[in-house]
Amino acid sequence: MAATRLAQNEKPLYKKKRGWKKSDGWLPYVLIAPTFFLIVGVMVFPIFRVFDLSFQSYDFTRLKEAGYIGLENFRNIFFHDKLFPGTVGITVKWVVLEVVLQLVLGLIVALLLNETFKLRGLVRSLVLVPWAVSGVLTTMLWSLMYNQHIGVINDLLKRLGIIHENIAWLANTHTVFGSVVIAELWRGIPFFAITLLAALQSIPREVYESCEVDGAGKARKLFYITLPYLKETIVFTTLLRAIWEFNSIDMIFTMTNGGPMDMTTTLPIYMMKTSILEGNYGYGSAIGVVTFLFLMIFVILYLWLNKAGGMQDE
Amino acid sequence: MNKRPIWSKIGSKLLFYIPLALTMIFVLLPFLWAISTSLKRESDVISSKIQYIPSPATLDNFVKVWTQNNFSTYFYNSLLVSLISVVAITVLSIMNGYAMSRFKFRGKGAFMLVLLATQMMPVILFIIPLFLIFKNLGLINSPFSLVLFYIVSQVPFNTILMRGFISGTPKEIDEAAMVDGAGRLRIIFSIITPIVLPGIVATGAFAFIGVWNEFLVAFSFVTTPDRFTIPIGLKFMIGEFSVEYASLAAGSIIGLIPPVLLFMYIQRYLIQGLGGGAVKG
Amino acid sequence: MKMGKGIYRISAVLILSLSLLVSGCGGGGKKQADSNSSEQAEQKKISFWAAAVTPERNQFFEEIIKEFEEQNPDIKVDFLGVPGDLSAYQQKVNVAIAADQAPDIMNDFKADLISRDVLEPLDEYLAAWEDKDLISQETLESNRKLDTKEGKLYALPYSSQTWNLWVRPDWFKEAGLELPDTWPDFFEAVEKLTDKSRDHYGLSIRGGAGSANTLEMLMYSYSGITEYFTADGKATINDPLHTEFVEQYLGAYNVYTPEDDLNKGWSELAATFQSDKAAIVVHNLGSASSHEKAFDGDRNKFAAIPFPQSVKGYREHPGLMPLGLTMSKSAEHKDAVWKFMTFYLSHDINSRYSELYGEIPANKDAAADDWVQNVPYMKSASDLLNNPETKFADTPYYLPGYGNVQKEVEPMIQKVMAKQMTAQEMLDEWARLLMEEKESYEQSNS
Repeated sequence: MAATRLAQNEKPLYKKKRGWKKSDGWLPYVLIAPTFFLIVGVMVFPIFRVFDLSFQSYDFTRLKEAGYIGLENFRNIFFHDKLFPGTVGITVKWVVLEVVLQLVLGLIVALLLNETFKLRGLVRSLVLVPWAVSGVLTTMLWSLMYNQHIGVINDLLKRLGIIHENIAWLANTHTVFGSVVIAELWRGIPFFAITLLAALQSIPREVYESCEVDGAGKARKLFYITLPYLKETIVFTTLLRAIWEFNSIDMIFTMTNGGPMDMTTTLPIYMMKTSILEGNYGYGSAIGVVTFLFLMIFVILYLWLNKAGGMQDE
Repeated sequence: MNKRPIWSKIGSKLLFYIPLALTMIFVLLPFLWAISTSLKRESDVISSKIQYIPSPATLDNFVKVWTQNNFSTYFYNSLLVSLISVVAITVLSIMNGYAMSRFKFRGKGAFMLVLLATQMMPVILFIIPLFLIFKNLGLINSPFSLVLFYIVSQVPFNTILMRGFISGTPKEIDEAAMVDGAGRLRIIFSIITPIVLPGIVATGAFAFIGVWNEFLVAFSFVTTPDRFTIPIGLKFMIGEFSVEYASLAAGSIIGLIPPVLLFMYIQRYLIQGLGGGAVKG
Repeated sequence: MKMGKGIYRISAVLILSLSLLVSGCGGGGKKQADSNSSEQAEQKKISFWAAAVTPERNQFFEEIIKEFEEQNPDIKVDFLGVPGDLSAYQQKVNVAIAADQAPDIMNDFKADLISRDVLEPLDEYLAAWEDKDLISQETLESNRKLDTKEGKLYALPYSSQTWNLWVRPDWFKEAGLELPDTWPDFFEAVEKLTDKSRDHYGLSIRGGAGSANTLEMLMYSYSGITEYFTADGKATINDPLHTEFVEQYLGAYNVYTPEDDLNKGWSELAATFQSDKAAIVVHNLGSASSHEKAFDGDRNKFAAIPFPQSVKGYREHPGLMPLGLTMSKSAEHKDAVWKFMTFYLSHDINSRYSELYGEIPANKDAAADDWVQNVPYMKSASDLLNNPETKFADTPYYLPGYGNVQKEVEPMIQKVMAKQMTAQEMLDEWARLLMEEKESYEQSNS
């Protein structure tokens, strides 16, 4: 230590940089070690177990047939499963709709909340609160409103003359998917609004000011200054959000149970029904592995964009 | 000549207030409807005539839900689990964030992948193997099994956030401190930490809300009612009162109060905090 | 160097404290276990999980456990009542079983628990029990049927559950109709009692979770077919009579029923009935106490009647569902478990239990109690079971995948309701699934 400091004192600028890397070569490893070992300790066995089970026949109701069956589960998923293609389609539709709508509406909300107006603090707090609400509670709140007979939505729409007969929002094949999407938007938009609002606040005032001198309009400012500034935040939040929306189970499951007619059965819901509710862990795990690989593409894309966007340090 | 600016001023006001009002309605309607429902008598709720202002209004539903459920116990358990988890998550995220923002090292990308890999399968598939692990550790029905799992599941996202915040602070700070003879740990915990404090509040809040709302793992690992957390209590309440909408609404509101209060209190830090990280990250 | 050491030290402390956190608690857990085993002589701990528990039921369980513990100070019962849908309960139980931590006693007796080797046979315990003759022979038999190979008893029966229609006598009276005793009467009433302008429907159909089970029971009671499989192994579920019934019954959806029936589970169905929206719903007597409460005990507003007579002229009831308390192989104190089970079957407790659940007690003394004879819907259920004319279907509860077949059929039932699939297509698929399940079961047993 003494030697290092001496060296630094002699030739501060140059030596500092070298000393930085040389003596601290192992330091980042020490810093990440606790997390690394915790993750390995807690997650490696479960993930291994899922992969292992995906090559087996393992069904609580057919234990006599249990054993390794190679790629049979995957073959069934891709070639014989009538439900699988549909659930993939629903999942993709769900993720794309949720992420795009949350992003666009979240951006609008963030732009609104970034203006100065009376009671802004209170309005901000209220608008962002749904983000703190759990999936199960979201279901409770929205089911009360969607109810065909006693729900407020039917009543309001009838008073406004938009509909004339009560609609069973969660049972009608035309409305169920949209209804679930809206409920999830309710708690998803605030997440984007918060992150984007935070990013908006860190755009230096001077940038806008110099732009005003040029006489740029609001729309121009939005597209040429604000959005480029937000790009990194947007890349970062959308991809993480996509992973979460992909894997989200709680709200859809409690609201519709995946129905009616499997119209809201996403991949994770299908997997949960197969493994947890029907006891077919082998097949359910194989679906989990497919999910994992599918999401891996997302993550690689994420890391790649990360680099492309200049988010990689140094 | 004079009219145009006035019209455009009114126009831009409308362009601002109408979307804002719509947003407020969308956000607040579920809360208001739940409050209204919770104050009604059960028979008024299911009548075809929809009441907006409950008459007569009653607090009976709240009394019933509060006395029939052990919410005070659940509250304590949730708080215990959440606080321990959040502290651990924050400390670990700072360490990881510092390592990942200040150093180039072999395996950094791999570590990132490991972090993200934990998020890529629905947790529900992990429940049984996790249960086996915790059983071997003697941690079944212990709040610490939840704490351990929450740390592992929340650290990845918070690390990525924290990395952004720390990257936002100039490296020269570290260098200057080192010249003064500060050790690396002192730099991390007494120099960098105060600078990124808003960011820490932000990650802490993310972690807290994630942990506070977690249901699945808590439900699977806790086997006696005295160890239940709030989400389990709520889910059980849904089962119990699924036909009684007014009680259900009252329970929802009770469940909403803690995260909403916390959130209102910290939201200003949250916004300041995230700004530093997300953009410069 | 010193700097590095500092970090190293602190990191080490962190790792250590984390691992202490883990092992410390682990140690704590073990210590607890140790102290338990040292206390063994004084107190035996047994665990009991109950499914589908409501607040009243929870209160009942807590009461009887308190009574039991007072009578048996050496035994401590850890009770967990899981409310709500069965899926939450099943998930929890599956996790516990996989980790060999099954609760000692469960009240949800299913065939797959036998094939998974979770349960302890109870025959020897029963044989040695002095009160064994008090338990109704029929219930013991229906529980033994789940073990088609050896006919062992894996659950001590506590009651029988009957199916029925819940109807609104006041609506029928107002419309000048008799309560239906034949299927044509039933469908006529459904049509006549529908008045959409008043938000009144003749019927509410369970289209969500549990829909297949209800539909299956109705189909067989309509056709009067008692065999699920013909001699040459063909499923009877797609019999033309069943198609005819399904077309008419599910065809009533959204014509004589509310639109949101499509994904109604039991509690939503109950809410529909109790909020004056439907004249008829199908369930068992387990919902009696809930109706009593909702209608303030006004028996003009709710009554239970048996399923209408089959088209063949006799009345058919689904095979009695096996019900009972099970003992897990992993139970540490099996004698204490058995003691609790016999306590549960004692006259007084069994009577209180059955009254609360709306079931016919398995204890013969309890079945002779006043309330069974006095409460109209209980009497009609008990008469139905005891009537020698009543035929029972041989419902294949013994197939470990029986419940899964129903789960798989449920989305198809919704498709038939929404006219995206014909009744015939749905029933053919159902038959295929059942035969596949039976084949796999027979193979694994041969």
